Amino acid sequence: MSAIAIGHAEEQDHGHAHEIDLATYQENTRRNRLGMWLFFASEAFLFLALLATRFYLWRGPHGEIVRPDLGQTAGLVVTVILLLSSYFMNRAEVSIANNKRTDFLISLLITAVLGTAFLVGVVVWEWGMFPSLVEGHIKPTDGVFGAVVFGMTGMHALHVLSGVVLILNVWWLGRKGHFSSERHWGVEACAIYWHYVDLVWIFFYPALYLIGETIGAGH
Amino acid sequence: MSLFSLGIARGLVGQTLGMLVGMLLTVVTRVLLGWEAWAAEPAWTVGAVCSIIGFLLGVGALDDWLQWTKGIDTPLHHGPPADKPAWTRYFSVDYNHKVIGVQYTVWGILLLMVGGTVAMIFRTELAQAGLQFLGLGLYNSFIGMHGMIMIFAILLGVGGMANYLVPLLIGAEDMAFPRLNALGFWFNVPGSLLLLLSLFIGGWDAGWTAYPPLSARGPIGYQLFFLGVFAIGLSSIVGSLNLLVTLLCMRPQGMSLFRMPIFCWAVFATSLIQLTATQLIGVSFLMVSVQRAIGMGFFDPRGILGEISPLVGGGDPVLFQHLFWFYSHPAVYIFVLPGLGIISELLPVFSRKPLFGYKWIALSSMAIAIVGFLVWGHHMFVSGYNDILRVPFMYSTLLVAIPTGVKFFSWLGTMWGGKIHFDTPMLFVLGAISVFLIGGLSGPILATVPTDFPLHDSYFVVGHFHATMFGGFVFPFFAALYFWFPKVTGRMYNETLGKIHFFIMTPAFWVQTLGQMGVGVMGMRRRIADYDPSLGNYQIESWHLAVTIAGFAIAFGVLLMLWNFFQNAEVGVAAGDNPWRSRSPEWQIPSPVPEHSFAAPLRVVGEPYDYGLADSGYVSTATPGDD
Amino acid sequence: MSEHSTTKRRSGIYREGVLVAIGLTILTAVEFYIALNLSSFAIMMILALLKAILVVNYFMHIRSLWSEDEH
Repeated sequence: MSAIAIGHAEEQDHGHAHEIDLATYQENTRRNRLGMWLFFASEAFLFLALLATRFYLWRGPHGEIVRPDLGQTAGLVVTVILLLSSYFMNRAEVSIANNKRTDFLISLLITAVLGTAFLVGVVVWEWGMFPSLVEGHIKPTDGVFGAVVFGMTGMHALHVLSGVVLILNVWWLGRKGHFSSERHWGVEACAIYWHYVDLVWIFFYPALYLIGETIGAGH
Repeated sequence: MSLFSLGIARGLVGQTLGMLVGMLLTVVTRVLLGWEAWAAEPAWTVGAVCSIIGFLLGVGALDDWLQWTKGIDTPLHHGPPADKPAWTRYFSVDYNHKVIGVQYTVWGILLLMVGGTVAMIFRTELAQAGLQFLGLGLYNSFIGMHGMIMIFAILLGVGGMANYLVPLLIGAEDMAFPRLNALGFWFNVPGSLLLLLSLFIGGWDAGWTAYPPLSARGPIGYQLFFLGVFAIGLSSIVGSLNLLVTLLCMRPQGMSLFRMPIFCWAVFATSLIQLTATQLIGVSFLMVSVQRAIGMGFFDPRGILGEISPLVGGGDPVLFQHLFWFYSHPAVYIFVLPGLGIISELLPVFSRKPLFGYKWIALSSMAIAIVGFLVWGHHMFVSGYNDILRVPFMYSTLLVAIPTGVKFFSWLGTMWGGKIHFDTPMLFVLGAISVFLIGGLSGPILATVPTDFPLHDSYFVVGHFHATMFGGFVFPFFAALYFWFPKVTGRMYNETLGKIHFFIMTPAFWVQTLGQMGVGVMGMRRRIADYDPSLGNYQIESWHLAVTIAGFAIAFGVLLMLWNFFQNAEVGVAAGDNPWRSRSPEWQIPSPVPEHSFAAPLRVVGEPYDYGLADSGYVSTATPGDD
Repeated sequence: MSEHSTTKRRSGIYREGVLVAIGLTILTAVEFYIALNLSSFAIMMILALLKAILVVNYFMHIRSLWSEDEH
């Protein structure tokens, strides 16, 4: 507690947003942005490895690409939800750049809600974590089908979860009056991270749900 | 001053607490789910994850970010801690890249000594045929442990050189992201501790490559080993990201990419590999980890019904090898490229001649890095993968010889006709070239499919790998330590002891690596605790003995070097600002380097390696008004 | 840049987001429709790439990495 109190005292001394001049802020933002994109490049290899695993392991008896029957409704619904959330994230970022704070905060909140809806959709509907509500299509122990489905959606869900936490953090800070049209690297970082998570799903969705002949998971 | 004002002490407490909290969480969760309360593997795994977070929280590497989530700005603290002695900054979170560089290097040397000690233990076992004092399980754990600890040590050594040198070489005040830099270092401490801890909860006996199915069924130690590797991997990723941004955004006016000191090019290429490929070892180990933990059968060929058939979803252990080597082969270039950069960096200084073919060396580093991504399959010639993959992988592997050859000829061209000064760093550079040549020449034998078949998994591979690691990392690293020791401490080491170290270590290493290759050709397998003394016409035992003695000699040489440094760090002869008459920016400022390195922004006024050209300089550290 | 053109550009950015979202929705629908009728790895990947280009270019404004002018 005392640490927080001291932090607040400092904040009042310096004024949190205008400690550095705008040119320095923009220079730092350029570096941060490059760092963020390098981080994406790094993460891309993680997701590419998972995609490679999917196309390596999901093969029929003659080497053709196959997929388990996961049911199309769940996949399509969560995909559309994530797509919509990406739109609202973009709207939030454009709003803060134009200093429309209410619009910014509402859009962020909608994004977080949609992100949470995506998570619930995957965990409850697709994974069947609560069999009393929805019976899942597949279990993690169902050979390579279960392993890859849970590996890919799990790794992606982990990123969605961290994205939602980040969005809520930015929303909370925004409510406290942080960020301005000129200084909102925090919002931008959160936004491009969220779009990146969406980008990954753009490739994961067809890989899991659309490509290849369906094959029974063995039940 | 209490012990807990040292960050590392708080970190260790945090790690212990994190471990306990994680275990408790597991037990509580299991009880709530109605399962048996205690299961060793989940408890240790969750505990280990929490222990890494606990360490980072304890040491304080996450403090600033946690403040930021609350919207509190934290100005970067410069200089030694105000209320504590200056030396304590080396044991706590510090944002100065020079401190972090020393932290990396020292922790790397410590791990080098641990890994070396492990090697000495099983080398003693191997000196004679028959089993003397090591059990089979422990022997297997030890060889894997030696490999992995040494890899950690090398990554730390690379991180140490890069962090200390890159901002100095490009005249930047610090790295682009100092907090990330500190975090990158502190990941290593809990990571390496987990790795060491794994030895006490069963070890892991499949060698450092941890191939399933062995690693999917072995003792619990595997989980801690995997998590240790994750921690180091995260360190690699954030460290390389930081270096790339630093190199791309923070060069001074006039320092174009082709006017950087050559070591920066090596670091640039290395960082590209580290940033991307590291994810692959993480994902491959994660897959084994979840296969062990919750039965996700990535590598389990038995599938759903317990039958080996693709129709019921059987996994494939060969996939692990693909994913694993996609990192672990480029990793070899992570280890050697900075070392080769050090060789190129030091040769002109001690030859008093321009670096021969600067652009070619710079681009050859990039070429090695890029081709390095296309060669992983040469580790798998006998794995049973599709036959048609063998030949392309053979050719792509042989292709690496071209940029490597470019480097060798450029080194020769640099030395040719130069006024060579045989100081200790130069001796180690020459040693590195000789050793790396052995490693390089034994490479094509293993890269060629027909010759790899009989030699695969033999001690020949061990000999080849040690030659590349010593030539590409250990010798250049030692050269760098001797070379920059005066810059870091402001004192000179003892030249005689340095030379003795070199003249013990180099011949000893030749004996070791050629001996390893020799016993390999005689039929000695890797990862086997015992051997038949009749191999090689009853000569194998004496060869093994020679390798063991050579190993001890190397260890003695390393201790001599450390003693030399330890003796002279505080009380040695003052070295002066530029004892090597180098043109590089870091030698134009006082030794030891002041807190903010350069008093004024660096100006580039010439080429970096125009040694011997009268009235030419590379950089000017004076403010423009001064001249 | 004058005040007028700035506001024009900003409202343009709002519209841009809507258009990109619509484009993504259409591509997703096409993807789904094609998958139900013929299953082709190549077509799926091309469609996914098109979506990816939209996201990277407009939502993530990758051009801001090298251009000063972009937001």
